[in-house]
Amino acid sequence: MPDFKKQISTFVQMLRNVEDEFKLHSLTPNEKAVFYTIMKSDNVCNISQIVNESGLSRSTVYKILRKLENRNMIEAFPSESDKRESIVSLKV
Amino acid sequence: MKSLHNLKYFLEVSITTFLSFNLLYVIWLFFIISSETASGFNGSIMYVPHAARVLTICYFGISAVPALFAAHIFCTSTIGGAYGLNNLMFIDLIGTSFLSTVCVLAALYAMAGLGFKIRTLPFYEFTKDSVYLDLRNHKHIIMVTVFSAAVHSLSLYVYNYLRAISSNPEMFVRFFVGDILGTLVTLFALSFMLFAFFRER
Repeated sequence: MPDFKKQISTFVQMLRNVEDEFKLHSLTPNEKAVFYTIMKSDNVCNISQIVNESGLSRSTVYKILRKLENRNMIEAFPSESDKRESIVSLKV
Repeated sequence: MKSLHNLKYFLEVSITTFLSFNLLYVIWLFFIISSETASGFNGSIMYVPHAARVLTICYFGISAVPALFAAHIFCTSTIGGAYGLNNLMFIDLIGTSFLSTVCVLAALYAMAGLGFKIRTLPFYEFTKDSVYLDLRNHKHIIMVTVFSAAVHSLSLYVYNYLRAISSNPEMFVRFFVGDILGTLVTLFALSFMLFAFFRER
């Protein structure tokens, strides 16, 4: 039995694939703020530095970093001097 | 209960198909045709409503055919007629509308003959060895677009030639290119427009 909503969601999925393939997505203002903060600090910095310089809350910064990491734009690894802190670097 | 669900589904599909074809036809009429009629109309180089044919037949299957046929006749005679685009006799209007409606179906069955099958259409055997068209993959949709544009332009050219409406081969080329370009432009435009909704994933 065909399902109208399922068919429409398949169509939307196809449009999302077009978007991904041709990289039509761009960054939101907050994502840009985080991205440029990392860029300004020679492409590598820690999360506290991003929080201080971008003026965003720590939870928002974590959320954005996870998104950027999923898009393969940054990578995060634990700091050698302080294991509780993460270091973030740009991949692009 | 099952028949009620079937009726509801048919109505949803019909309304969506009819409205989407009408919307794309109006967009085509206002934004594209105005730049083409100056040199004499001989088939549009960017026929946007072809996207409605391809997408509705691919996603809804055979249920979309009646609404698509009705939309084609309505748009050509009423909206297109008001702008002087319809100079066909009623029988030719029915004939060309029929060919334009079934071109995607014919293309899909031709592709099934070549091994590419789509699950939304009945009447052919599904086997383990069948290669299925993936409706989430835009490349498959583009392949259907190219096949259907070829079937559409060829069938309309033959019809126009047999009915002595036109024998200009330029029309065949313009229909073929116009259908493909129109569908691609619609897909990209929809992706751009909907990307705001996709941002929060």
